[in-house]
Amino acid sequence: MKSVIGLEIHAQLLTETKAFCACKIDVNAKPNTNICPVCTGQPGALPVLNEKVVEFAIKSGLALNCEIHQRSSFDRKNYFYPDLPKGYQITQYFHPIATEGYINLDSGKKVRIRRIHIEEDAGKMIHSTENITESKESLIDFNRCGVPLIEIVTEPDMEEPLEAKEFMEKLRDILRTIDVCSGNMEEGALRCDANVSVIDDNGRSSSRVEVKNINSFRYVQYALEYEIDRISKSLKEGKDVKHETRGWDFVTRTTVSLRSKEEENDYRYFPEPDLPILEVSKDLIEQVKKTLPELPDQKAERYVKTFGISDYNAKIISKDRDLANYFESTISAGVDPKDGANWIVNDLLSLFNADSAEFDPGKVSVDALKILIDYTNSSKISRLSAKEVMSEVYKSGRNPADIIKERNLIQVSDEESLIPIIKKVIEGNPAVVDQYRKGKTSVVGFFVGNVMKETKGKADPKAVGELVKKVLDGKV
Amino acid sequence: MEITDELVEHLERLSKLKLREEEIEKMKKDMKEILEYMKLLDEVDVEGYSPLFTPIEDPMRLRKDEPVTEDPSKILELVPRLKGDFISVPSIYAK
Repeated sequence: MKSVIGLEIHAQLLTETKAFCACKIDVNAKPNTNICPVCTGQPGALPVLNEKVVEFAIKSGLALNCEIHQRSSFDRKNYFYPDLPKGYQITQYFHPIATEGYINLDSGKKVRIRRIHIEEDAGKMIHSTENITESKESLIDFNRCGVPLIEIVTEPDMEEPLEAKEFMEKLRDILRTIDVCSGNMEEGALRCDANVSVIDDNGRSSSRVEVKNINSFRYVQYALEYEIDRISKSLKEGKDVKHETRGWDFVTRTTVSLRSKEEENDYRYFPEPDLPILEVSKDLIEQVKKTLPELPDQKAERYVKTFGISDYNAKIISKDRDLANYFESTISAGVDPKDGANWIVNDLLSLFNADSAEFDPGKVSVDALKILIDYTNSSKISRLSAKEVMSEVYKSGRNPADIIKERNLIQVSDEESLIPIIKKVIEGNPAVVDQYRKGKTSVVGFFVGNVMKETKGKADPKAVGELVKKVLDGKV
Repeated sequence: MEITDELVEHLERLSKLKLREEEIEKMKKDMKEILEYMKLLDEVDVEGYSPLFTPIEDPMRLRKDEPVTEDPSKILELVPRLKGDFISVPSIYAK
């Protein structure tokens, strides 16, 4: 069995105003306040395209290796639904602004992008009761109606649910890096519909199923795994599945039938007569190209080459622009890049992950991280204490040096203080010393442990270990 | 194009309308007449002309991304039913 997966992704663009009218975009606004005759489809109102939308669409196309078309046009996609007051969505059906791009997955596999086009979002529907099928009314907020979107359509180049998830994560990282979309799937700023079919071992293909309402990166994987399993089982029984649209239900972690192909809409696309051809000059494309920042993959490559950090760390750090800037600041502050990368990936990020929070450079400042790394490298504090202090800095934002002082975490590593304690421990355990003399060198750990106990954990275990051996060997 | 019962049913579904028996017959008659009338267009020789998609001859003018606040009250006055700040419509799930 082999699966074939293609994705259709909608990304909300981070413009100030809507696509075809000057209404403000503000997710926190009171419902139905940012509306006007254009986005509520009043007779005679005419759409005027936002120049930022064009710029962002070009920028996205360039970042996704697409060909940008100097001439593209708009069409009407017709359907009746309460969230769409005009009765049609303005989109680019016949001549999209960008085509033929790709994203490379970490395996080196290329996932081709068929097209990117500009369109507008619909209003938001809210259902009055817990159980939507029982509610007598639906409530609508048109603030979202007309918010600009780009739709990105891939070729069916993915074979594994994990590839689809990786594609979505890479796409999010790119769109965030170029500042055109927040990339937040949970809030609906980035949405994914997946098309999937399964080919059995005899080369027979199932019908294609579309899965909608996938609202997190994990669910891209889970929804596809569920669906592929469902289709494969059906094929094994010698039956095909229905060609239909299904919805991911994150509560039951299953997909449910939304509508069969016979009930599908017939969108009757036709050219939008209210908008002339969209022409973009070569100059504009070049100008936008110049604003493109370094993309995550390019950044990762540079980090490996210039700073010698691991491929793994480089990929994680370069995903998020804030994190990458933070990493580069630690290097400017004098931290060894490999140390910096390890501390960021292993320690700092796990604090954010534990909270399911996004990285925030304000939580543990570059200076704070540098203090922790410096103190640890010079054995002033143990690695374990450093972790504990970082967690405290993360929570309270306090200066790590103060916390170290307050908690008395400075390790004792100087010989003058340690040797008397070591001698005392050794003299108190003659039987163990005997074992050492007979060649059982592992008992050094026993002495180290006792010295740590004597010093209430404040001694530097590495220094103690070395000194214990010196004392036992009579070198001190 | 032939106007069949199936076509009318399809259009009912797309437009979310439910026609009564006598309305279906009237609709079929009206649609036949409209399409018959539109056949006039077939008489025009369009050989050598490219399709016209918009009567607007100027190139697309773009708008700066600057918000303008409009008073939504006039639009909301046109709404049949409000519930709080929301517009209320019959449930989309109601059978």
